[in-house]
Amino acid sequence: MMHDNDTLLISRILNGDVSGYAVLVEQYKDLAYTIAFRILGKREDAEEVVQDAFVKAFRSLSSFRQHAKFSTWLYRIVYNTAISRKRLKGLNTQSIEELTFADPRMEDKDDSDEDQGKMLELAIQQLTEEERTIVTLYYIEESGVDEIHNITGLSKSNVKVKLFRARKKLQEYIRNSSLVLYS
Amino acid sequence: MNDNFMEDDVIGRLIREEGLLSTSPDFTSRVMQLIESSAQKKEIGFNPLISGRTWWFIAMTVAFLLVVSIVVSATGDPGQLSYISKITLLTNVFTASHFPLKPDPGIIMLVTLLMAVVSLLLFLDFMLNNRLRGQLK
Repeated sequence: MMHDNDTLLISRILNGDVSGYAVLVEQYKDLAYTIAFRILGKREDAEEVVQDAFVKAFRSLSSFRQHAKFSTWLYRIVYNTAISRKRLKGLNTQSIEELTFADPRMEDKDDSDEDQGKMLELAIQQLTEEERTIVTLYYIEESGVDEIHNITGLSKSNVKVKLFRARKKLQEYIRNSSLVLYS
Repeated sequence: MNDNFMEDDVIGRLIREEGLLSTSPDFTSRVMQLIESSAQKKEIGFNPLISGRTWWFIAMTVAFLLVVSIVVSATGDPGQLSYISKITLLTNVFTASHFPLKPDPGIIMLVTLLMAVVSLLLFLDFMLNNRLRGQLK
């Protein structure tokens, strides 16, 4: 259904209704931003990368093959742009404190939510940037191995291995830190 | 084994609830501003008035006119010469080790002026092309 809506919107945009693109930006910006943030670890850089990715996607919209999912195509652009930016700048990931307090979403939450959010960031920090991206796509976007393979360019078997390792690392982290998650 | 399933479930729930980050509130409007400004630039895209192919045609015509005018000014009325003589004269212009004709100084001035004008036009076309492309990127 969402795929059909996107196809209609893209046709409108290609026919000159540029404002229709705002709907697509609004719909996909958060996950695109999360992917970029998981790779770059800096809020400003991640936002800049996602902004660039949306502009790139708009410019290449005519070359987008409409039988594919727009989100897959967009996230691939975001992923590649973030990886290129990281290579270019040689960025290091931020400290955990900076990560948790830099996100304004965390500020409005009550203590237990905040603890869980911090704990999640700590757990995710145990993963490599590829594992973080894979986990984000797997759990939030509920992408399958095929889709993750299309976005990251990793082979399907590699995606499976990395996903397995990432889940194992997260499970171990949860077990060792005896989180309040079960409550 | 059961614990693993439970933990995985917890991880999934936690990532779904807490893992999605949000951009700054004005993000969409910033992207749209960039896109609208780039769309406007596209609309005023630069199309050179004289295409590369036309420039070649102009250059060949000028070269042809130059040769003919030199030959005509050196030999007088071309109507008085046979076709074979005309061809021989033209061949001599390109192959002789010394210039075989002595054209009128007025023609040389005219030809020099013509070449200067054509060069200036080519230079201006090249500069404008580069400048406008740079601005529109």
